[in-house]
Amino acid sequence: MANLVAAYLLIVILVSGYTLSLWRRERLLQKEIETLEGARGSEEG
Amino acid sequence: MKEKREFWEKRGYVGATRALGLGAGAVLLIALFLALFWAPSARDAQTGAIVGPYHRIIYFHVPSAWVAFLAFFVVFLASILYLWKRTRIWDILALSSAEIGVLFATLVLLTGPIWAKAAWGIWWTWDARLTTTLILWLIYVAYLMLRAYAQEGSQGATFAAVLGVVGFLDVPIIFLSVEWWRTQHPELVVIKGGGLAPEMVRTLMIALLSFTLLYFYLLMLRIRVEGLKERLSWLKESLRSP
Repeated sequence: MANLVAAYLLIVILVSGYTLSLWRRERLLQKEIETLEGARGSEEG
Repeated sequence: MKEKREFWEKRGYVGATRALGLGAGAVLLIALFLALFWAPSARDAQTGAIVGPYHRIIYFHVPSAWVAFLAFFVVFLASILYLWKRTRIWDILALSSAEIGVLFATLVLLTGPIWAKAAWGIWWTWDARLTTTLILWLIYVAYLMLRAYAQEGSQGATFAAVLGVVGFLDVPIIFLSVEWWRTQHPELVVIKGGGLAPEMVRTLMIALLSFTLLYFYLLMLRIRVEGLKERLSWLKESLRSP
């Protein structure tokens, strides 16, 4: 039973860790883009 | 500088990615339930005795291998298209798929030894299938290292594309290794049945579907992240030189 739990836990940890890192990267990039687009808009305005 | 919005920035793409993620999550939960509670216990081929619950690792070990092979096949195709057309999207697709492929190949190499220890009494053996799978993992880790250390706009993408094509040659070798050599690894259970009960085959199929959906979800998300990175550098450039 311990080996089954260990295998399933490893899958959950690695897959959810990777997915969370992608969500975080997406959010940070989106935020930075919005800031720069705002700066660009005020420069043009 | 002309502003250009790519498909990964469109609302439809983001919505489709989220819908795919929700679908993959739902099918994964169903697969997990079936693997733990619905699929019957496996029996030893020789003695007929019920084996321990470790055999349920197969329901996510096999789909991990399938997704890794699918991901590396996408790298192979996208790399050929990049070398031929030199269009950036094929390079982004290859890079994104390689990263996901390495994740799932890592899962194969971690869950395999856990299963092996319970079934064979050893963590690892230099058997043909295990060794060629480790080689595949090393090839694509090298691919990601090449992408990480090569400078932007350099020949890194071209070198990586060549590695993406050549590296895929290991996949058919892994697939056929159980036929070509006497190995300790079981045969192709999905194709040949391998004496699995119909409920076990159905559970495995649902698990394969759930991981395939998960692969496409992660791929769409990873492509969007790469696209956003490009947009950010374009914006920084346009602010520097208006």
